[in-house]
Amino acid sequence: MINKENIEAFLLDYIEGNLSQDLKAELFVFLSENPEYKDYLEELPELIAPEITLENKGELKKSLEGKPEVFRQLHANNLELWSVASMENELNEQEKLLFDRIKSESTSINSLAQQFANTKLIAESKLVFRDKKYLHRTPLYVSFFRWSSIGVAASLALFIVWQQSASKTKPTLSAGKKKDKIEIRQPKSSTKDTLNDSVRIPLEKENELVKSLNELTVKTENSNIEVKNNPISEIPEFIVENSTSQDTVGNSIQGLGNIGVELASSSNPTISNDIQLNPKSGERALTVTEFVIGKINNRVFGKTNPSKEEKYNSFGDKLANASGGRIQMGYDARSNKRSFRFKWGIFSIERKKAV
Amino acid sequence: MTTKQYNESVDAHSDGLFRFAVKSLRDEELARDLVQEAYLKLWTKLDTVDAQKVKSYLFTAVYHSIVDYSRKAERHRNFEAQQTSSYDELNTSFDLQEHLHEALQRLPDVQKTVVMLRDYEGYSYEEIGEITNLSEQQVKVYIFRARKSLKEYIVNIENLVG
Repeated sequence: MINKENIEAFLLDYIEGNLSQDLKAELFVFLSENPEYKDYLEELPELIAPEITLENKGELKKSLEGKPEVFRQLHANNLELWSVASMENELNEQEKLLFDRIKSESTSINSLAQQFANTKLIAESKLVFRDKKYLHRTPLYVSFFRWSSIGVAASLALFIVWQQSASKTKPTLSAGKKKDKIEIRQPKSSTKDTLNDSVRIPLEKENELVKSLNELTVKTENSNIEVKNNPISEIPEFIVENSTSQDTVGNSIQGLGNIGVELASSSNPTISNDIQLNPKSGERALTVTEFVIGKINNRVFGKTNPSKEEKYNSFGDKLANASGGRIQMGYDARSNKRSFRFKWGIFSIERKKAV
Repeated sequence: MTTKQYNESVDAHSDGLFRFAVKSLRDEELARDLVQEAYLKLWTKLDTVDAQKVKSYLFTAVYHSIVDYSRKAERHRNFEAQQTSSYDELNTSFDLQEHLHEALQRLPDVQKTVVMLRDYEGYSYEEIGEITNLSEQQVKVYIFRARKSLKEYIVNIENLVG
C-alpha cells in the first residue's frame, strides 16, 4: 500500500526497476490522487522522454540491455534520488556508468551529487569507550543467602559462644556423668574464614566493629561484596555473597542497575522486578536502602540506612569517597533520577581481627 | 556465546555503540551507562545470543534504551521547527564534518538513527530495519529524507559562509 510515508521508497524502487506492473500502476494512481506530489506527477510522463539527453546513445543502449526502464527514469526531477542511490552504492555498474557520464556532462548535476556525497558521516575516532576493561568478564560466582539463615546461624553461634563462655567458668565434670559433660575447648583460629567464625565475636564487640564500618575502609582489589536489602523496601531480605577467587577485580558488580540484574538473575523471580524498580516511585532505581558492604569474620554488616531524602545522595557520596572514586554518583538512565552508581568494583571492608 | 566471545565483542563494538549513543543523546555519561547496560544485558543472556549476531543485538539494545530515554525526556524534536533559527551561531570557518554533525542533531530521531547506523557502522537497509523495527522500505525513506535534510543544511551554511 503506497502512502505518504513510503512514497519515496517506491520511487526509489521505481528508478531501480524493482516495481512490478501492479505496483507501478498503484504508484501512478497514488501520484494522481495526491496533488502535493505534483512534481512527481509532472515528472512521470516525461520519464519516457527525459529532458537530459545523452550523446552516444547507441553505445549506452548496448550497455543498458535488460534494464532499459531504469535509465529512462533518470530525469532532472529525480536526480536527488539518483544521487542518494549513488552514494549509498545502490546503483549497478551500468547505472553508475550512466550517472557518471551525466555528472561529467553537467557541472550542476555533478555538484548536486557531490553535495549528497558530503552528507556521509565519518565516525569520530577520538570518541571511544574508555572503560572497556570494566566490561570484560570472568566467570562469576554469586550466591545468595537469606538473611534469615544468617540470623539462624548467628543465633546458633551465639549459643555456642554462650556455651564456651560458660565452659570457662565450669570445670569439666566427671566422666561418669556423660549427660552433663561439658568440654573446655580452645577457640578456633580467629582468622579461619568460615561463617561459623563470625559468631565468636561477642555481640557488644560486634556492634562496636559495625560502628567502625561507618568509616568504610574499602579495598578495591579483593573478593567480597555482600549486599543486604532492608525489608522496608518491600523486597525480601537477602544477602549477596560474592564469595570467592575469580570474581575479583572489576568483573562482577558493574553499576547500579547491574547489581540489580545480578541479583535478579540469581534470584529469579523473587527479586527481578523489585530490584529494578523503586517500589515507592515506581521508577527504575536501586531500591536497596540498606547496603551492606562490610564483613567481619564473614558476618555481614549493613551499615547505612539513609533517610528517604538521603537515599540517593549521601550514601552514594560516602561510598564514593570510601572507594577512592571507584564508586561514582550517577543518574539512572531510564528514570533520569539521581542515584548511586557502582562503577566496576568489588568492594570489601578491611577485615577486622576477631577478638 | 562464550565469555571469550563476549570479551571480544567488548573490544570490537563498545566504541561504536558509545559513539552511536553519544551522537544520539549528546550526553557522554548517559551514553556510557547505556553501553554498560547493553553489555550487562548481553552477559545475562549469554547462552541465548548467537555470537554472529552479537553486534546487532548490542545495537538493538542500545537503540531501544535511547528510544526509551528519549521518550521519557521528551527529547523528540521537530527538525523543521528548529531549522529557521539554526544559522545564527555560525562559525566563519567551514568544517564539513563539524557542520554535518550539527545538522545530524537537528534530524528527527529516527532519521538520525538510521543514517548513523548506515554511515558509522555500514549496516545494510535490512540490518538497520532489524535493529529499529522498521521495514527496509521505511529505512530507505528515512535515509533519503535524512540525506536531503543534511544536504540542504550544509548547502545553506556553505552559502552563508561564502
